[in-house]
Amino acid sequence: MKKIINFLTFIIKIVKPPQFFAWKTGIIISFLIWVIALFAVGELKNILAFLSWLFLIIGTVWFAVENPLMVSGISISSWLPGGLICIFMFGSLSNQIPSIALVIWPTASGAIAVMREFVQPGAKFKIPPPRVCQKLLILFLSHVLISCWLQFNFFIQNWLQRYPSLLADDFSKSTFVVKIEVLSKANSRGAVILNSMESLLKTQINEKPWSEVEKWRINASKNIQILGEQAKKQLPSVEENAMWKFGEVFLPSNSGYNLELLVKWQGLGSMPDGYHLKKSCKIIPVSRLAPTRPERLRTTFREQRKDIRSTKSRFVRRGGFPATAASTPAELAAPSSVTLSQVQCGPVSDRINGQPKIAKP
Amino acid sequence: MLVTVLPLRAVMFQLLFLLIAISVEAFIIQQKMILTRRVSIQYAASLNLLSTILGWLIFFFLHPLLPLDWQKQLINFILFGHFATKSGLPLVIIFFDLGLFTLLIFLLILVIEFIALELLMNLKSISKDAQFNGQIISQSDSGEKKSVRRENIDHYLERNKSKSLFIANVYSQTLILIVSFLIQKI
Repeated sequence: MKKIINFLTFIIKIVKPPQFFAWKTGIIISFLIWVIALFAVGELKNILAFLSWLFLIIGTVWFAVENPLMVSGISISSWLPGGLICIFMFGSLSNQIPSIALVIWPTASGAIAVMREFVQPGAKFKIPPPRVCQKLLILFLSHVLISCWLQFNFFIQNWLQRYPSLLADDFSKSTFVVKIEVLSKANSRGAVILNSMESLLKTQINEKPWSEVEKWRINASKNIQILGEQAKKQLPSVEENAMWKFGEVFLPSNSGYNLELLVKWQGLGSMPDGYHLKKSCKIIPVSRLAPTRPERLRTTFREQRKDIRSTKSRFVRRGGFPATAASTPAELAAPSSVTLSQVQCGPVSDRINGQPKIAKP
Repeated sequence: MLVTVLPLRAVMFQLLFLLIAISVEAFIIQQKMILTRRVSIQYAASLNLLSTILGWLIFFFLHPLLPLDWQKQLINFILFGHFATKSGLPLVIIFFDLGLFTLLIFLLILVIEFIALELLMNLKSISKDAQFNGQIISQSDSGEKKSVRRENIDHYLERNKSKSLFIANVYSQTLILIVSFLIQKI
């Protein structure tokens, strides 16, 4: 019991302000108002929270003015109320601390550090002598300069959000920035685009009759452009999406075709002529045993039913039998083979300097 | 886990350039304007800090307003240290543009520093030094009327001030230019 009383008196001794006008008073008032605000409801709660913030800021500013922790002539303690003011001004709007609060922070702290010289004990205003004024100006300006650097940093982050593929680039030539990589590497989004192009390509011409591939080949470059636009739509839309361009190299090989999917990037980055990424694919004909006759009949029957359903007419048989059904008796007799296409793709290449030279076959 | 780009080099080089500029300008101001070393260093420091900050502010306000192509050029320069040359543009024009740009920045800094110095001197007049300066001149031409002399002194001080600030800036900016070229080469 005695121990508890001793402890309480110790706490009171610490907490109790030496006089009525002291920084501790402000913080105690702030704390009390906050406790009240916990039980308040509605509009009153907001007002009390506001008052609590206000007294907290007054208390900390007072603290910073009264006992600055000086480190080589610069008061450190002004950074606390400076930060509180910034959170109060900009953070209360949304729960997240916006970048502007961080940018203003050094300036606010500088202002508080300077303010210290303008206040005399007893809360009187005074103008310091010119010699000190000059020093204060330099102190304040250097704080503002730190704010400028922070703002510059946010500028760069903004660029990287607009053009995320820049992160994969090489920053070693820059005189402004350094790249920091911890345990991971950034990838160019071109690789993502190429991979989704591959899967889209497979849905179009993988495991399809060879004649479809031939048909697709005639409009290959246009088809690739469409593929690319579709692939871009699957990505989160940022400004850089418009900068990715597509190309292809379509060459016949001894079996089937070699298709190189290309994504090209130009305009920004360490390479003046831009770069491109490449993914090589092979489209080869594979002969499969054609389905046996009953199976084939079943499929034709199914197709016909589908056909009929789609026209919504029981009597009209459009197009007659499909071509497969109207085959020669010889084909029906022997199990023949059907050539299907098969698409095989390799991995995405590294960034290749310059723009690709597209060889027209 | 974390990939980011921080402008640490910019901060480092800015500190270096500020130190160069402040030391050179303080030395020249001290020589030309007959001030104490402490005062001249303080002047040089506050002038340079102010012009740097105003330069940043101009950059922050102008960059979003620039046409997109220029913005990209600037991003290229800041992040990758080169201007993406459009194939049509000859190199001479680019160098000419760069030179013009440098001159513009130099003039801008000069104007800002002139105005700032004027304000500083009004704010806390360096009366002691001015009187000291005036005495020297009044000794040399003591025959004239008082009012005329006063005007002459003011005029002399004014010219001396702008001239010394100009010379100080030329020296410091040239040095900074040389250093930045060396940095680019290395």
